[in-house]
Amino acid sequence: MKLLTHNMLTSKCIRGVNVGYPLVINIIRNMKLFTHNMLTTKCKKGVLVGYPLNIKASDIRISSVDFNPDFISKIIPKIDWPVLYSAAESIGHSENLPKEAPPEDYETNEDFLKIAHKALLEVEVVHGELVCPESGRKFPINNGIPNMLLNEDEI
Amino acid sequence: MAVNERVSRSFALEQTYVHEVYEQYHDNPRSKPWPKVQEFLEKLEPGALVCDVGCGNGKYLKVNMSIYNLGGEKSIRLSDLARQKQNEVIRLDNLALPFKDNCFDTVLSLSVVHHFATTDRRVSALREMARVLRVGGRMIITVWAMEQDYRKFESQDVLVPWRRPKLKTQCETNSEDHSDSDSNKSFRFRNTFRRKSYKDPYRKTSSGSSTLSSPSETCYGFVRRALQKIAGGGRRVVAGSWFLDNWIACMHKQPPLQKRYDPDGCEYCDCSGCDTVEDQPIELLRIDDEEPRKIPRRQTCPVPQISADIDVFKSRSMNNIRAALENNNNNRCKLKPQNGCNQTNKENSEKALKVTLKKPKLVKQKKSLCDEDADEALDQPTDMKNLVRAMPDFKSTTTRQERGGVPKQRSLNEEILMSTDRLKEKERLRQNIQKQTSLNEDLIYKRVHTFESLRESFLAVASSKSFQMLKNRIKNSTTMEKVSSTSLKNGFVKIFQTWKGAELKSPKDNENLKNSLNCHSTDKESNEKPGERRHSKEDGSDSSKDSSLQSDTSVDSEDSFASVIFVPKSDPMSPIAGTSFSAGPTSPLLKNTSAPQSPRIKQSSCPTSPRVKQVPNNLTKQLSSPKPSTELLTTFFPIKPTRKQMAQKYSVQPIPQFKKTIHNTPPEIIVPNVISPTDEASRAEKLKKIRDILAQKPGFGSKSKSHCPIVRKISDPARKDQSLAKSIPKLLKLEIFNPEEDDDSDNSCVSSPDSVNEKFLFSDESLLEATANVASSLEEAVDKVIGSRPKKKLPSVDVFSILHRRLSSDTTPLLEEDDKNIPNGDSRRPSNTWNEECHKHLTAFADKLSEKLMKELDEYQLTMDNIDDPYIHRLSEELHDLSILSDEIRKQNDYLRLSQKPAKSCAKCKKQCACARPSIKLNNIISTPCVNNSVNPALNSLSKRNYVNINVIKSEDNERFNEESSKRFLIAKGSSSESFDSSDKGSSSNSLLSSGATSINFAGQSIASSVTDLSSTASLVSTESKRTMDTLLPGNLKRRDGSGLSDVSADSSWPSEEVGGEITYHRYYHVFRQGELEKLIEKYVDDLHVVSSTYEHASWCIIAEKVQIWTI
Repeated sequence: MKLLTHNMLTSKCIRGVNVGYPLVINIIRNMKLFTHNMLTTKCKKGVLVGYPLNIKASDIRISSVDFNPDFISKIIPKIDWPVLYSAAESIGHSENLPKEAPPEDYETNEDFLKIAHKALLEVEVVHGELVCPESGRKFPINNGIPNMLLNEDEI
Repeated sequence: MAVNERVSRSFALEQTYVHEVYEQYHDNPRSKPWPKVQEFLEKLEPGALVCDVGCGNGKYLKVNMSIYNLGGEKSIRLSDLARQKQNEVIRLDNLALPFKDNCFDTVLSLSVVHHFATTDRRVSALREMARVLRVGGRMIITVWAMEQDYRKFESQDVLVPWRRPKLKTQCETNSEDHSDSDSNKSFRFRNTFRRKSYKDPYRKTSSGSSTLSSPSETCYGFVRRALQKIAGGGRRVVAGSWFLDNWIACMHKQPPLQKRYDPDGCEYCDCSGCDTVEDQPIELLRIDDEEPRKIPRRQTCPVPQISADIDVFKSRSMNNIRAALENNNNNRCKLKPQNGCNQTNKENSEKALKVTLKKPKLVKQKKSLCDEDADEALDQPTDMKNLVRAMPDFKSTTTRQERGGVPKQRSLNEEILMSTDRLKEKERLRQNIQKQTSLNEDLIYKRVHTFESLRESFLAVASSKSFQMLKNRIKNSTTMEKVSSTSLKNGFVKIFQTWKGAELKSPKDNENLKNSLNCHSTDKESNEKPGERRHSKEDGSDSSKDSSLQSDTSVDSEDSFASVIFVPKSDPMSPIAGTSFSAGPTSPLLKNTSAPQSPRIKQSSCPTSPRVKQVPNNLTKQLSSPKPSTELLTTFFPIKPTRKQMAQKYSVQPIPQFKKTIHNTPPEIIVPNVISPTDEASRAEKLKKIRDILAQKPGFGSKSKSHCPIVRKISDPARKDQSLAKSIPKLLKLEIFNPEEDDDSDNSCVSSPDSVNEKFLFSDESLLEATANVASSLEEAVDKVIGSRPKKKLPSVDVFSILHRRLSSDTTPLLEEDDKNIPNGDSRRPSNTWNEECHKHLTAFADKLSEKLMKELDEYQLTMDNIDDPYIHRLSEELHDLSILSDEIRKQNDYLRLSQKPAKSCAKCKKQCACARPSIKLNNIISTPCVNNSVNPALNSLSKRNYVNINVIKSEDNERFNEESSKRFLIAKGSSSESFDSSDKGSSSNSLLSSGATSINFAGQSIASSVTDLSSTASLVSTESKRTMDTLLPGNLKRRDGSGLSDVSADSSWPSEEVGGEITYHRYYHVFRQGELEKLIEKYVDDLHVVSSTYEHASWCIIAEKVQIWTI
């Protein structure tokens, strides 16, 4: 899942959720950072030894995407920038991203466009979960595909 | 409540027929984007945020890389496929898009909306997509069009078969190739305006499919399973698969399906899943077409109203269905007033059926894929299939149209061709099937009634006297040898005891017989129907069912033979016993005859309790569906009825009359034979003379020759056919012929019992007297033969049944010869003389055939060998001649009998009975035993031939009888005439194929099966059984299935499923009529404005733009 996609996702489809935006991105890797010890204990319990590493390698992926300044410049106005920033920050790829809003001259600021390009299109969350800020409903992300399906009783 | 139910149902439907199916999707790299959509995407300005809701395998996510393509897909498999292509994919539900409002510049909804089962859901999906679309953004929607060039849809809601691309490359190509093929086609965009011209009519007819939410829909999974079962083994099990299918279809179709033409098919639209052209879509019918009326269109009514309307419609549909069922039940009741008790059972069964039917409203355009396949050979649907094959587009079968007219009755109507008689028959058949399905008990009850009726008839005839007469005759005739009188007496006593004890049961049999008699007409009708059925898919299914039933009957017949054998053993020992035995067979014949009237019923009955019933019973069962139910009882019953019949025949038909008639009509020689049947020498002389005469008579000789091979082989089938056909008189003749043939094969061992049986058969028809005489003579001959060749007897038990069959056939030929000399009615006496000749022949045959027969009997597959035997051929020829003579004699005899009914001898009584209704019944019964004999694999071919011959004879007899009894006889004639044709064909082929052809001729359904199964005679039997079993119960089918023949037939009947081997998935589509989607959008999605609507690739392509709505 690219952050650009995340920028558009909400959980308002859940019954009772009015906004459901932005969705919090939880990545296994971050969990590891938070609870390194716990993970190790889990490993002791018989979890595959290499499992955390694999997760590390796969949870966030930086894929190269052709840089298209025109495309990015047209995308940026459609972006909820704070949400993008927070999402990038939550996964550790918020480097150099303006926190509040894109610069006024973003259309011509190629450096910014490249940064935005990376954040929007190249950073992908492969494994993780999205959490509804209101209901706490978690949407798993597997193989880069967020599962936003809801149970019938949740709609 | 209703809303919730509909929601859950629609959800289940979509889950089962959309999502689960797409999980089976296999990516087809060849699939290409739809040109129209590609053009649309390429025109988007760079940087546009595009969400493809229902992206499938993501083929539209790579069209324009200068835009941000976000794919949404619910299917795990499809989303993974799209993800593997480096696409951004989210698993989502179109009804709950997880996106911010107004966040997308463009939304693609390609081949998605038509997968929603209800208008509510469609509207909801559209609204969701409109929500996430920014103002000014455009949305492109493609849905499958109902109006297609190559596909016709009667209903807007269809289940389109789809096979895994793996299995069929075509499928793959079709599925995603839709785009390809469509791409080619796509260039020919058609303005909606064009379509309008022909859309309008459809619209008028079209029912609001949007309201799919009918209660039945919820059960889609269940329905699918049921359909699969039906299509698969389950269908086999279900005797009247077509019938059941029809019911199911009707139930599903409760809402009449509207015909619609979706020529181009879903091709590109459903890129992911393409329909295999071969498979016809299943249309989901809504109970009432009226729905559209109330709701001019889904769109017209506000959603809540629509839902309410839908509910109402559903309720209506259900009520209608119920009413229809009730009507059917009532009809059934009317048809079978006797079956009061049975009715309850029937009702229960019907209820069960209703329940099953009610649940699934889904109706396949073709009853079932399997059915379709089975029907392909003969049914029109095959044409459709062919077209479909040729054309990727789905073919909505015409059947839908028919169904649409009268959902439940439709099937009946189709078969019946709208004729009330046929409808009645169908009802009867259904009843029979239901009864059988419910349990044999029902049939038994019915049989009891029949028995009662038979009893009455017997009483009228002074059955006891008739029996005594029969015994006396038997004794006289049996003077032959061995057990003779004692055995006969014992057998009679037993029969009487059993009869008395089983009176209740016997009445059932009688009822069955009556029913069968009544059914004969129905059978005839059914026979006639098959042709029509052939055209209809249902027909094909019916045929398959029939085949399966036949196969079951064959098994039953075998069983019955075994049972019969036991009885006959005593009989064979002494000619008297033979006569008594013959009486027994006659009764079964009668049953059979009755069965023929209602072949389905007979079949059903046959399969149910074939074994239990004695051979005749089995035969009768096979012939008459009712018997099967009684089968358990049948063993007992058959004997009883036989006795009764015998008594009736004897009482009614005075032998002298037959003799006289015989003398008059057939060769003079015959007359003397009849007069002095006891004088073997004289008989032999007479027989010789007759033979000479016959030989002199080119007609006979030629006929016999032509028929002979057929008769031998076909005779058994002919019997079956006849029984199936319901032509009573013919059956008698045929029986005679059959025995000859059989005799050829089974000369030695079986000769005695067979002869008896044959005699009985003859007697049954009015020939009973002659047959009795013949039987006695045959018995003597048999006894002699047996005495000379104990070996034959030794194998007897099992072999005996076969031998009996064969012997009966053998004896019958002799009898036939006698009959030739002495017309059938006189055949008994002449038969005696003939018996001598027959004995001689039989002895010779026995010597030659005994070994073969032993082997064959062991294997039950001697029929072919028998056919090959030169003796058999000769016998068959003679039998043909005899049959011809016998026919004439029979005619005369019939007249004489009518006058002489007092029944000089039991045989006469039997004859008389046969002459009257019983005559038909007897004929049928006789044919049935023959059929049973034929049931045995070996005998099957012979039986077929015999049947053909019998049919011919029957036809003649029918003519005679017609004079006497117009209706039944007429029916029988019709059947017999059909049988004749078949027999002629069979004779030409002389092989099983011929028999199969004959069987085919007889029953359209059976024809297909028989053709397919020609390799095995069993197939013929199965076909016959199928014919009779049109309404056969599943149980019967199962039994038949048990038999190899049935298996073959079943296989043939269900080629598609078996052949396919692949799992055919059905995807649900709601095909949109022209303007339907536009109306939906305009009516329910306020913020969408339709920019353009085009028809492309059998799909409606609508581009809508989101507009700002200003609310004051």
